[in-house]
Amino acid sequence: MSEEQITNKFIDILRGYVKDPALLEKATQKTHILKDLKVNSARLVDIIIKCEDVFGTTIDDEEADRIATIGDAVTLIQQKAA
Amino acid sequence: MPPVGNDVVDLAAPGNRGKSADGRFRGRVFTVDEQALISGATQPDTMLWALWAAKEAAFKAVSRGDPAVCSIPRQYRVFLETEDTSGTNARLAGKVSTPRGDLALRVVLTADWVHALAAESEEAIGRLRQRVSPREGTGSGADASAFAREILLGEIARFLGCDGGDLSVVKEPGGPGAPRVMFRGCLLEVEVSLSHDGRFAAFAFDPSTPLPAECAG
Repeated sequence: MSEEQITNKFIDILRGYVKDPALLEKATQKTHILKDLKVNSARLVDIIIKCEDVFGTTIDDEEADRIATIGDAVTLIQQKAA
Repeated sequence: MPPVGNDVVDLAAPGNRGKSADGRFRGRVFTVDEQALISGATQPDTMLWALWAAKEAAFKAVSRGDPAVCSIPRQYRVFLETEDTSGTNARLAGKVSTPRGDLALRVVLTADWVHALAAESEEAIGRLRQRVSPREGTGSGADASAFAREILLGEIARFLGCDGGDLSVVKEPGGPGAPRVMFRGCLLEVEVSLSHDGRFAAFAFDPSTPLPAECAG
């Protein structure tokens, strides 16, 4: 799966948790999930669980702790798929 | 400045209701002992969010001085020591063991929300000025943040006896939730914490730090 495909899938996941869709329209790899998209910490846990299902992988605590931006999540998923 | 953290959870907010039935969320966030507390509670959802708020409040407190501290929920272990159900709202007290040491904890539980406070000691929690306030509307996240700042600044203005217009909140670039208060253009040496979720916003600040002389008058 290409970086673009992973990014698009991840943004699709985020749509279920971001209250203001306009924030996602201008999202980039550097977009901070909590600060820029106003996702709360509990929902970030839900997003990580959803990623495990959608991408068929497992994300441990230390890996999840390193996810701050969209790019962080995409890179991690890409690495785990390699 | 001594660490202060607070966290409010709206028990009726979308995504919060029924969360105690979400085994994967429970497993990722809570220790075995905490999961036992949730399972044994008469209101499992309320206990789940009380424990969550405790972890969040503690994380906010320690991340202020150490923005790189880990945020793994299970590394913030909650130990409840007392429970007071004699008043209108139930109150829990205890401690949170964090990667940077223990913090004292107090949690208030109501039918609508739970609110946790974390600080370096029970005495420090006791001197905090703090409040949970219902929001009038159900606007965007940005509106909720503005409301939380508004109620914080209103309380600080009352405390200082100054005009609310003399105060503003700025965000430090590091760390999640690291608000600082400006007073007439000077950084006010007061530890503050803001929180909002769904229909509620909350704040806490430690009034023990004196106003710097250069800002007074």
